[in-house]
Amino acid sequence: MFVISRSHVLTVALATASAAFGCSGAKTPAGPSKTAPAQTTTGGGTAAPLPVTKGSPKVDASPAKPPGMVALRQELDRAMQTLGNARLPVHHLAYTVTHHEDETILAEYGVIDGATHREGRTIDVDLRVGTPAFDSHHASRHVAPVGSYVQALPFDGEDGLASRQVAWLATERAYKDAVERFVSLKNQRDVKVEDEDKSPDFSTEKPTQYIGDPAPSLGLDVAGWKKRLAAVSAKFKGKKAIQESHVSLQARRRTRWYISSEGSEVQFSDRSYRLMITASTQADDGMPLSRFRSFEAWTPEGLPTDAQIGGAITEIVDGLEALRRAPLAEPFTGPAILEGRAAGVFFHEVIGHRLEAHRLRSDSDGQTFGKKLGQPVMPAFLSLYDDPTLLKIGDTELNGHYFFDDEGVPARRASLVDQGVLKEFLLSRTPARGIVQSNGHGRRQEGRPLVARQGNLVLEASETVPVASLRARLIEEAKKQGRPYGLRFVDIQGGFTDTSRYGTQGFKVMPTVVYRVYADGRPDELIRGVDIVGTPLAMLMRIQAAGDDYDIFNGVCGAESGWVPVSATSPSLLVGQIETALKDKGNDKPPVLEAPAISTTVLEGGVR
Amino acid sequence: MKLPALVRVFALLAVTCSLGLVEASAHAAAPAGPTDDAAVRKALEDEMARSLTQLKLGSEAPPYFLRYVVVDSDRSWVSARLGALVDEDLQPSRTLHIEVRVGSPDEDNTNFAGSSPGGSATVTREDDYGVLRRDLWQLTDREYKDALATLARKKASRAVQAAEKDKVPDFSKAPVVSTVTNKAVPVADADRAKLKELMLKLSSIFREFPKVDSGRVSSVTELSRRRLLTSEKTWTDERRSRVRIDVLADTIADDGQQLNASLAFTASFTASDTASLPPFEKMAADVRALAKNLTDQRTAPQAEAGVASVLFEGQAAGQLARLLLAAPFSGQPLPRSPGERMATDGSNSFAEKIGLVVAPKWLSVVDDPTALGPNKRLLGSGYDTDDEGVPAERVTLIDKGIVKTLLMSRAPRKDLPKSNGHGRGGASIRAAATNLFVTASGGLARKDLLAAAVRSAGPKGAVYIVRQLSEASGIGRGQTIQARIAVRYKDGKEEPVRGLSLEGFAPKKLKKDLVAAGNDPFVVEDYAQSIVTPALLFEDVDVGRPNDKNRTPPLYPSPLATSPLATGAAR
Repeated sequence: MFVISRSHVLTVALATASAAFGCSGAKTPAGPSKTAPAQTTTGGGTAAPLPVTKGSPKVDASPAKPPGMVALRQELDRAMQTLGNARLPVHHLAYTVTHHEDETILAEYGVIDGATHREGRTIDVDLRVGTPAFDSHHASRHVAPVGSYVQALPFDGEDGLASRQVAWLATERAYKDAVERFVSLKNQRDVKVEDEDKSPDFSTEKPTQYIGDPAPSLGLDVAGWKKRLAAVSAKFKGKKAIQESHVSLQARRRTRWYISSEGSEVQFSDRSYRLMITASTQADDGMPLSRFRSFEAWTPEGLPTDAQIGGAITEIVDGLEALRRAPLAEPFTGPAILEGRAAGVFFHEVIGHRLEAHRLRSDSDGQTFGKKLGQPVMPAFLSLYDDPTLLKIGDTELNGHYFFDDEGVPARRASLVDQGVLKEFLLSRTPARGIVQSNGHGRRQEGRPLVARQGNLVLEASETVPVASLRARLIEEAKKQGRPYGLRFVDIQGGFTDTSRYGTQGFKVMPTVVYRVYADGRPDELIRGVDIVGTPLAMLMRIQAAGDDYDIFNGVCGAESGWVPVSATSPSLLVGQIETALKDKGNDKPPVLEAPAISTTVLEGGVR
Repeated sequence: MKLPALVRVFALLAVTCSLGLVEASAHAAAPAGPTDDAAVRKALEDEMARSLTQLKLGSEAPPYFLRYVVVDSDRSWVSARLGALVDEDLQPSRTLHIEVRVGSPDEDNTNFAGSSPGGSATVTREDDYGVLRRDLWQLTDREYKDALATLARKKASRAVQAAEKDKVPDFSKAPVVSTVTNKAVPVADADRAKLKELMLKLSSIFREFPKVDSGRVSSVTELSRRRLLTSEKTWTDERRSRVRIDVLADTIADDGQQLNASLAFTASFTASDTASLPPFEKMAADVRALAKNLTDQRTAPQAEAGVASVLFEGQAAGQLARLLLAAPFSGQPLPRSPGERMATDGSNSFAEKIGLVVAPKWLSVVDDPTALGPNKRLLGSGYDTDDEGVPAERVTLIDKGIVKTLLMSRAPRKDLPKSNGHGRGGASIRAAATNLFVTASGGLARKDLLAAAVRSAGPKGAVYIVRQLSEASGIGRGQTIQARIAVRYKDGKEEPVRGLSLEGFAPKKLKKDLVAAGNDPFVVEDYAQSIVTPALLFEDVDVGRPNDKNRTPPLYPSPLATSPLATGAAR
């Protein structure tokens, strides 16, 4: 998992871009899984369609173009007058401006541990020298990857001159770097074998003009939330086994402009609210144990009530207590159930990242699915798609929703796997394997180079079995394989995937709640210290059945282009064989002294 | 909040808080929670008492020494360019520093390669007794275990090393003190608003200079309070405040030389409160001078390699004195380890030279953390007790050219067994200069200095006047002194030069080549150190060949150069 906190980390992260991707996420705010009407067939019935809500951008949205955008358009056009006609010309120039406002409140044991309010603007400059067929962004293991050109953008007055100066400086630097890279690439092309993938380096897309509304204010009662968070965080007082705990709230609004030399001018915006609870403890053998829960919302009204937060805290405390007492897992190969949310994360890691098309352009990448278009990659009763235009499934708002990607391309559904057969990739404007149009999946956090990313990943099963029957089938499968038990994965906190040819090309997902389901009828047993490991192609073909339920993982995913919000939806799955490995246990002794007692008295207003 | 938690929480925070390249902010953070001084002190005392008696792992002994430090900081920041706000922030914070020593003062877990006797954590700013104790408990536990592991490694290493010739203890005794000082001037919202307005006005001056590619102005105000408790019962509570404005400009010369790297300009105004800042007219004039200087530098000739006499004046004299006269006086012993050797960055250079002549007999150097600067100005870096709780002492480092003593923390040396109140740092302490005063008896007026420079250079030698050094300057192995602002002095006139790189500077050059000094002290301040020094004239200075590997200049001009909107662009 990448944790990106400082600018100078960027080049390192880029250099290892295809090595690993980390994601973290949480339970859906709606709570327990929603069950679709049960179907009755012998091996599996026809599934009911998912209750999805699609959206489309407001067509009547026509606010005036912001003055700052007009100023930067002038600056972009001025740059193209020179650089577009230079000896090594720029064929594409784009400015992305992100205006963001963040409110963060962190509470522990009844006090506010930290609170920040930040507002700022940044500009990212994307510039390509050469032609769309072959340009300075061409992937090559022999030439350093393209850097990012981000600067703090002033809050300008009418003339926009300060912003234009910043844009000019960043464009100048980006151009010189691009020329250097382009010349190196051309030289490399002359002395190295021809690329296997002859797709152009940049797709041609129709320019987008859409000026949506700027993000509304955060509308957060900060003082009120401080009191509430302090009060709910005090619920951890007196829990001796818990070493650390926090309750935090992050609210963010973002308005983004995208303007390009092709004529795109887009303004779109979003707001997000995330309440998180974290707690950790340590088993007697030294193993660190932690639990995490988050609630996601698009409006402050969508945030959980104190009772819901309190319930989640109780669940975490009880869960950690149980985990502390749980036996240590052993390495295991055998059948398993991945319950809906765990299955969603599993698909996000195991296949989602490998279908991000830019990886197929890198000859240092494993390109697991590079030559699998038109071939079966999973059982025929499963289909997989990514659709950022989905607003909700059931009542749950989806984290990965957007209408325009960060290259100004309208988002559309990417039908990745249809009835088990690989059909498409997740595409930004970097084509791959002959697919030369973007499907609107180019995404980035400000300050990071843009690549194709997942949005709302959905696994659908055309045939399902009643979810309650999966347990019986698991036991049956364990007996068949001569295993004393199978495993049931209830929750997964996130995972890594390594797509580099120099690495294992495997994945690791990190479950937090895992049970042994014994074949001899003993009660299910919670275990700790287990990760799911493996390689994707083998694992996917071992999926035997899908339940008639679904659950949604809403979270965030970190990769080369930074952290982006995502969701993953899946039914529960029965997998014929999975492999687990032991987590690193750590060898630190628990604290020598007991934690000093904290008064558990909570005054009115919540702060002590 | 504890440090391990900090890492994890940030991984999660990254969801909605931009952790991108640039974090701009435009609103003040919420004020700190309720204050209760007694709760903070009691939490420190109670958790320290418990740790000293009960913190015991297996057969190991409890710590023999603990130091708890709580640093509260209210820091505000505003930056602007071309009259537009870039970011602003107000951030209250509280940091805990904890030092844990196990073993005995003769041999403990410190003073060993790769070891740190303590740790730090950012914690809640609320004065909550229970939560603060909890934070102290966690950090103390972690550092205690770490200290035991370090001491075990140190003993193992010693077991295979030859016996030391002169056994020196690891920790010295210090007097027990109890002090409360308050030299802080609170910064009001109205002051911050004025500073913001000032930043906008100062930065808009760069609109008059289209050949300056980038001009940024920023201000920082900081109100800090440090409370310190040791297991020897020393208690200090000290408050300070400061205000600082930085101006940074850069451009590219017509031949493509990146002047942002080697010729950027900084001007600083530091004061203990906003009212002590220079008047706006003075600051504006300085910013204009800086911008004009940078504009002139674009077409200035490159310095020629050779040998020259060099006069360091103003800021450059302070920057040079910091390198040659502050760092070398640290008496911090080098950590014991099999590979022990002299530091390579120029620090500790005078450690073995007590009683020896290292500079001309007219030169004296004093460090006094409690002293005021010229015109009785409070220096931002000063203190009454150091970060180990030891009262600050005035220390004469060089008297008439002879080294008298070193700057000492509580890590003793053979002949310097006690601290003189110069231990600086958080969890880890290092002896360092604070307010360094360089004085020259019989210092020369500027015109006499220039005449001396011309004389020492001889008829064929060059004379340079250096007014500002690049931060990249150093006296360590492979480093050079790089000028940001320099002129060549020829026939009584000053001509701007670029790329002046001076080689061979080391503390021993003081004795050999420091030929004269001025009579007008200049103050250079940063957050940890203030240097007060007159101009310094060196002869026989090697001038290196400037770096001429430049990128091409901009292909198209700054928007400032083409916009009719830029005030004064036509000038």
